[in-house]
Amino acid sequence: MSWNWYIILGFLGGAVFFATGVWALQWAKKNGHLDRLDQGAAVIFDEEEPAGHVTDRFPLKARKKGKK
Amino acid sequence: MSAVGSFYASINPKSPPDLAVRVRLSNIDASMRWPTLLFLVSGVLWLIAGTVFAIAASLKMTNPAFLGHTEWLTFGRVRSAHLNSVIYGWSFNVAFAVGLWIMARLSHSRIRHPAVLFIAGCFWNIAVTVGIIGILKGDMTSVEWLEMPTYATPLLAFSFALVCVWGIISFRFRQNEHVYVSQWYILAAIFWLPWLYSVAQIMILFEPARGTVQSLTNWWFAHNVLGLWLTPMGLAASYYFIPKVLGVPIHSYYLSVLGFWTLALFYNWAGVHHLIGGPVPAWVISAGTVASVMMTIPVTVTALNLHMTVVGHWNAVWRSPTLRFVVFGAMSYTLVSFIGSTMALRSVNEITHFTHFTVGHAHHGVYAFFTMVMFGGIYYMMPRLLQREWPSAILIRTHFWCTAGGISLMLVALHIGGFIQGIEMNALKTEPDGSFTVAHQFLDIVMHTKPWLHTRTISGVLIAIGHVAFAINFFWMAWKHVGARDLAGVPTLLDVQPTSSSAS
Repeated sequence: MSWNWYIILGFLGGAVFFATGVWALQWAKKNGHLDRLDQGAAVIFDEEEPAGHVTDRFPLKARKKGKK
Repeated sequence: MSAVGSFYASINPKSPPDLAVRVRLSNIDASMRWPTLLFLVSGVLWLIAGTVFAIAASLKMTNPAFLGHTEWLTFGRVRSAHLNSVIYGWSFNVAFAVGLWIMARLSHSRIRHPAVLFIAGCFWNIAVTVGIIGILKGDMTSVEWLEMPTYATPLLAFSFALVCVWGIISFRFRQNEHVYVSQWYILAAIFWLPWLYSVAQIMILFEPARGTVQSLTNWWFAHNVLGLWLTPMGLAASYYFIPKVLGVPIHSYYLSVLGFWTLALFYNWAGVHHLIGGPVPAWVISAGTVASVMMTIPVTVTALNLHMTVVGHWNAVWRSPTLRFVVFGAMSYTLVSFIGSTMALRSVNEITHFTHFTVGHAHHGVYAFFTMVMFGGIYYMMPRLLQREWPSAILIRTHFWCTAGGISLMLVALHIGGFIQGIEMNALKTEPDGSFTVAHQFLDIVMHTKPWLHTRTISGVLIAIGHVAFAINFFWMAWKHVGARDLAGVPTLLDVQPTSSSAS
């Protein structure tokens, strides 16, 4: 294939990806994902793992058998 | 309904409403257990294999005769086996595990037909095994980051397609209205990589393009594996685990959205900075340099965002195995990206190109950033997948200090040694007749790098010790139950305590 074909294919591929990106951004705007961003930050928390709780630390040492 | 129709209905969110329900996180973890464990077990085994190859290759750089009499252990094959083990073996497996787990949790929906993911994982690891054996027996392709022989790659592509499709199905069944930034990164990554891999395989290996187009495609692919696959997965994990562990939302969700879209806009162009000074059109190089410098925008917003989330919670970071690794990785991401933007300038690249500086930079990105973040992710995931505690805090600490210390030592050695190497390679001296000659003979320059390469080997051994500690802890946890009666108190990693983050 000649350079011209690579350039054409490259631009076509780039255009497809650019169009997909624009579509995704437009989808996000249309469905309200770019609004109320503070609420969006809190979706990782729920009733099972609520905000305000540290959920990870080192395991405690194992208690030796027979000792308190 | 036929079996095929029934299967399709079960993965279509518009089908039976009883499937599309918001489930508890513990149910999601249970549904993800076996596929995730397969990816993690495979990843840890590839990590150990890749580490062994790495130490062998590093020793050979200062002692070329080491294992030199065995054809399948010569430097070219061992070094390539290392690269492919840690990328396609370790990095991809752990990215699948962490990415799919985060996606399932954020979608608040059980994974459908986990057996399909399990099969995809088996196929992936079979393909990587065939590829690594092919490299060692001499069938490698000599294309960087695509060294696996072409008989292994179709199975890789098929497995990856299955994993990607399952990630998208998980997203389609989401119960949250809002799409969190980690989900954006994961979706984008599984959208970009099939394109990257298939175009690179076709244009370089299956229907090779002529001349420098192959080089351009090669480095477009190799850089984008880091920038559009590993980086989004690492950032998705950072944006999930940091606020999740601390119990506070990300500092500025607006900045996270800005960071994602600017990364998507700029990163793809940057790959050609690997060819600065090469026989490619100057405008292509300039575009790559501009994009590389523009990458400071998403990197700065991400760094600010994660830093401001962590500020005031350093005690909690230090007391969390997950965040020790994730925050180390996030800080490394900032540093490696700024160094990379600087390296893309022609005047700096003149010195750093073809030196150990570039090797150090690659390890900075893939290990100090991505791998450390993934270690942190595994420390968070495993107790929730297995409903068990990590057996040994000492092994966790050993893992952290050996890997953090080892990679820091490696980076210092390779960056300083590589920079000196570059200065010496460019140095000229003036002869009495006014002409210029090289100031240092090439072999002298090579000998000057030896102390730095010895340091690199030492750092590799340190990292290997950390990996062994991690592997012991990992398999001990997977195969032996640590009963609640053996612990001094309630299980800590599974216990959600309302704690002030600034408490001692």
